[in-house]
Amino acid sequence: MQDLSVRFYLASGVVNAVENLSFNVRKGVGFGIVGESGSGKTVTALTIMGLLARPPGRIDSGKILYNGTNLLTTSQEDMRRLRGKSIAMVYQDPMTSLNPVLRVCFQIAEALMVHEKISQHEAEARAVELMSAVGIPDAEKRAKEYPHQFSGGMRQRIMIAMALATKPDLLIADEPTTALDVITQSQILALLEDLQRKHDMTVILVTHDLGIVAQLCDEALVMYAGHGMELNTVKDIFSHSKHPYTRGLLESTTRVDKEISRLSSIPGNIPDMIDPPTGCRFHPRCPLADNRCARQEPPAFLQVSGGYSKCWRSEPT
Amino acid sequence: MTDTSSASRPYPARAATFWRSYSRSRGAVFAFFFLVALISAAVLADYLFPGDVEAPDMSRIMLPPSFSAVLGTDHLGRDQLTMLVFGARTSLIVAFSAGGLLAVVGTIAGLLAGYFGGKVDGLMMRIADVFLTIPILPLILVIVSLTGPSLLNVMFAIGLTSWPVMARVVRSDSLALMKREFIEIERVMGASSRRIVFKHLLPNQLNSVLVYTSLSIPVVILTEASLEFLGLTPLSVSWGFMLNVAMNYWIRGTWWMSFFPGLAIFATALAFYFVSEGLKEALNPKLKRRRESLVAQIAERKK
Amino acid sequence: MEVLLKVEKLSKHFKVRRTLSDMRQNTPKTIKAVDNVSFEVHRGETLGLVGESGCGKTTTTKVILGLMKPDSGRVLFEGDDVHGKLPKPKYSQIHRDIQAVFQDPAGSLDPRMTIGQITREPLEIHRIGTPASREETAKKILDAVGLTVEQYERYPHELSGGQQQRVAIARALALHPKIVILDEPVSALDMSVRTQILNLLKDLQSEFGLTYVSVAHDLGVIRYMCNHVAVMYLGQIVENCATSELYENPIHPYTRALLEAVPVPDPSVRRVARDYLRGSMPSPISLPTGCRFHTRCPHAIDICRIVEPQLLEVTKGHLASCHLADTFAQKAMAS
Repeated sequence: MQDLSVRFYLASGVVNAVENLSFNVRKGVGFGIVGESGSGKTVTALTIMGLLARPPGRIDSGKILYNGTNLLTTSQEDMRRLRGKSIAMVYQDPMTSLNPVLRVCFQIAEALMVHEKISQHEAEARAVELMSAVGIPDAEKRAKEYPHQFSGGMRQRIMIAMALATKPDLLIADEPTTALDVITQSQILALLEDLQRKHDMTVILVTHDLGIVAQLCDEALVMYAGHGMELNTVKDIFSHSKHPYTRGLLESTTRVDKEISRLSSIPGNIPDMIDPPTGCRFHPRCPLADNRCARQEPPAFLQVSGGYSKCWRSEPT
Repeated sequence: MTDTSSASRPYPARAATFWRSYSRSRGAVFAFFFLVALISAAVLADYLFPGDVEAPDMSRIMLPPSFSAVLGTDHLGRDQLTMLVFGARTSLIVAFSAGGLLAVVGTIAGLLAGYFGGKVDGLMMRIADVFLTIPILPLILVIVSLTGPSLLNVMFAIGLTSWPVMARVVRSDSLALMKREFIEIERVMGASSRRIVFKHLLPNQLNSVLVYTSLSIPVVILTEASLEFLGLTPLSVSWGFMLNVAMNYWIRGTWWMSFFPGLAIFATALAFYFVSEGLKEALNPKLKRRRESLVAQIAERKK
Repeated sequence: MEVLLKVEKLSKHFKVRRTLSDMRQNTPKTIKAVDNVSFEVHRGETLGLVGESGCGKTTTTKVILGLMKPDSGRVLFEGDDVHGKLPKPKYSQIHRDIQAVFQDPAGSLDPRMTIGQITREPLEIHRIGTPASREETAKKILDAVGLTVEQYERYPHELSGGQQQRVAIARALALHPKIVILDEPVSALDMSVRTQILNLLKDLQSEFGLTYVSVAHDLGVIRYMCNHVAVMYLGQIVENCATSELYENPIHPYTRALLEAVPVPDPSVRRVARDYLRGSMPSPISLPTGCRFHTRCPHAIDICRIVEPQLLEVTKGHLASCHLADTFAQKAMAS
């Protein structure tokens, strides 16, 4: 991704959803995009998939290079072929992403039939295989059932089965476990990890949960108010982050494994996206901010590991 | 926005904000002025048009619209414009009173049903169902035969048969509101039923109550007009009755006798509809600060 | 430390529509949302109620708050039965002493009222002071929760989620309650705001001498906020002990599974994502026999299927409801 800028043009103003975002994802890597609401992480994921609602959204600049092709200049027709075949997406809410009136095996089979020239019978057989691969017990019997007959965790597995049906190279998962309870979440995450390793699949995981990023991803991008604030390997981000926002998040996260008497919190609120702060978007809440931070937006300073940190404090001296 | 406590904010300032939001809907503005004009005309009718309205003038029967009789004259030579203005009185009186009656009865019934739920709700709804099944025409015939035709009867009959629908609307809104967390907190804090119903349930439904009332008024007007049209009331100076008479004469090509009363009914009904649209805008605190809420929507979508 | 709130053998059932075949087979269909739950809350402490959705923690709070009547058992506040026949002043006092903050920040505020009106509301309900003094108290409390005077005239939808929740907290504190029930107070908020609110709640607790019952599903939040925890599963309490005990020496297999499942934000502590539990949570309508957890428990033995375990004290101050509790306790001690 190079210099992506996405804006929403509304009657009441322009929302700078994503600004000058750049990052690279290597094949087979588990890549996390971390951010809170308003950070632009979901917009980024949708833009990669070509599912951005435009209007009112508009891609004002940038390129998204997938295996050399710029996704932003590909035709709708070609995008449709890519979507589902090589790039797949899993959404947050399994309840609304499945068609309640179709049997699940048909829904999975549909993905196969659209992208490969096989019969419905064959596709449904593959669907059953996929269902057991994602850990649904009694797949043969349950394939004939409808979405409402499955629990939330099961439905999410079905979504994953649908996404993986065509053996995509890239899987984008947008908050796949937010609607699930913690035990089901760990099962789904374990499943994703297994599948990623087995198929050597690249996974982009969009989430707000730092724990998930730490456990599942190799590299991560931290976004805030539409900007990519820090990009680095997960090890580096968690042990010596260069960006005050990331550090603030880490210091304010509650822990299950440690007793903490007092967490430090980031003061202030997430900015108004129509009228964001000048200079560095984070400066009103940053303990290290100075005049320059308020006036000038810092560039992304490259780090040794190949990542970057968008902060004046990480300027190499 | 200056920092002033709402307790001390002067009425003119509040009225100004109200008007600003209300006038967001252009139709509402036109409708407002139209109704103001109509109501004023109806009130001042006696002064605007002195003399006996109903006095026939056989020398001027069935004249098409002209300079002397702007809207033409009817079969008894009476000036249509005068008739319309006096007729407005009737229609407006019935509209507001029947409308008010059904609004009050319906709202109270709906609030009680929604707030208490359970048995009270069941009882209320069965009563409402009974009233719902009463057809207005036979009812009015019965009333008229018992107590003679009068404006009061019309009001009463219309109110009695239309309140259940309002009650249903209010009830379903109330039931939904009762499940909201802020109502639960009120109960936790120990608020009395009266407080919850009138300070929290009702204001949050004002939107639908007012809208529904302004939507029922056209229906009321039409019902009243049809009752007069059918001759069930003694009101000779009313739009409905004018239509009744016009029916007998249209074959002679006196289009103005039916056109203008019909237009009046239509315009008034439409005006009330637009007023309800304006009220919707004006009464919704969320729409007042559109910008901020839109941003929140975008933030929601981007999550 | 005195006991401020005592929940005694509380049960709350919900009847569910039965189909004709159910009625023919005479199968009763009730959801035992809360089944024989007992616990105590001491003055000044924060009790955490943890569990996944459907475990009954929210229903329990609703009964404590008087929003629902229990089917059996009692809720005693300072010795008085909250649902019993109380003289009017006592009744009024209880409404002042027990307050709540709910999960949805916007939903718990009346959208048609200004922040000032919302904060003054409890004072008006209980007829405390004059309109002028109420305004002053309200402004003071809003200040205490970190809101500015400028926001007094605003409407809820003009505020961010975190600010809305602060208003809800201010409203809860306006009457100087003794105990505040917090039902998932931060789960609807963004991460950077979550900790602000948690810290605020902690500060207010010491400033106003409050007691909290904090209901949550996030174990990290519970560890940070509470000094005592009760874990619920399918309507029952399966473990009850001090916070540090729970996180360091958990006894009940369900608690252990929950703790293992939480992803830790530290890549060096890479957990082996084990599929620790089998199956999924049973439907509350058809509960398993014996121990409700046995269908998913990797350690279940025969007795677990037949006999329901009791909530007993396994080690000092540590209650657990499991037939194998002693074995687990010893193992935990050893490690």
